[in-house]
Amino acid sequence: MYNTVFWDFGIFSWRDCVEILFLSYALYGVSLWLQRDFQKPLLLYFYGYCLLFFTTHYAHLSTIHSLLLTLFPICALIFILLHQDTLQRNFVMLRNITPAEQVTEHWTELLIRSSLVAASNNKEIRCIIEKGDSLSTILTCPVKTDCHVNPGLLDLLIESSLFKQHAMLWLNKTGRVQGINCLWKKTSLETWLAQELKEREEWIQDALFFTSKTDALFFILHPTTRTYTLIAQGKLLERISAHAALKTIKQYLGLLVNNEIKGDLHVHKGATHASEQFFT
Amino acid sequence: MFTKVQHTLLNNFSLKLIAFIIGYGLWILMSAEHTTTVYMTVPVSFYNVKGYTIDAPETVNVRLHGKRNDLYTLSHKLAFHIDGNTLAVGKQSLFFESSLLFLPDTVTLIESIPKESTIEVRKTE
Repeated sequence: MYNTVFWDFGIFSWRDCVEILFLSYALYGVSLWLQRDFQKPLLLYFYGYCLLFFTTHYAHLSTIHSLLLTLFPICALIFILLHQDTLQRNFVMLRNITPAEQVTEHWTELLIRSSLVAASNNKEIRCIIEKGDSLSTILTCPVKTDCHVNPGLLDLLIESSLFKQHAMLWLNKTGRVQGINCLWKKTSLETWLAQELKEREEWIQDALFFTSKTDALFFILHPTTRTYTLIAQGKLLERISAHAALKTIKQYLGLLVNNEIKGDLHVHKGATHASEQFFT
Repeated sequence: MFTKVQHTLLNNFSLKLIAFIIGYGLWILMSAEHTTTVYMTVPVSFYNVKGYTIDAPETVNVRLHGKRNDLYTLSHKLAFHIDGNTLAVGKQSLFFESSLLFLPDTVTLIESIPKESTIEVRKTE
């Protein structure tokens, strides 16, 4: 009976099953990848293309069928180009074009101060600071602000009942608050981390992954220990004091003036429990 | 309406199912012209045998080589067709050759199992 059923579908041996499953799996992978583009319905275009391909074959429209077959590599290339979002997140990051803009004075100090105030209120603050690479393609930001840091603004945002502790505050290196309650846009492809890191908290894994792909800096202030964890370039600095964190952030963003650099200790990747370390 | 169709099309099970259907369709299209070897069980059929009874095997296993498309078309139609007029009364050997299968040029018979069989033709009382 099984034999007859398989023969009805033109499947003569186990080799045919292997070939069909291989093709199906490859197509499923392509479908998943196309589905991840939320901006354009690429998957529906792909299904449309396949439908047209089969229709032209069974309707004996041989010229169109040959044309579709010949144009397939070009269509595949167009799909890859159109799949901008994933492409950018996985391979090439958009660069920020920063117009000549005045950097808000001492915004890093204001940020650190506000985070400490929040810690006093038992609030955990997570913050991502954009440097050269644009984070717009890798962050979902429900509340966009786009305004300069000022003493009252951060306190107002952090103390707001709408502020989510486990989401991130998004700033750029000129001291502009881009948004609050931001989350990473995650996909199943982004699970390449080393084994020892897989046992760490999810936010550490996410921050390590995304900071390794971009030049952004992530930090968190733990309200219980009043210490900072800084993550940049896929490297992790833990238990950093507020002063050391401020220096590291400024140094990483290139905001340190010469006399501040003098006498600072530069520590390379490896030692993670020092109170004052820098990303180099 | 469009969103509902889109949601149905894009959920994970649907994705797998559609990928399987497209994969199967592509495989059928691509493999149609490929050659392959298949084993089949073919019935033995006698004609012009009115008034005679024949003791012979009902089926014979064969191994065929040819285009997948042709083999698929043949799979439900193939049989050894034996003309009763060529047989004598009594026991005799019958060779299962490709000429008895009336195969198209693109398909060849590699082997029959068994290659030959003893059959007995008797006159019906």
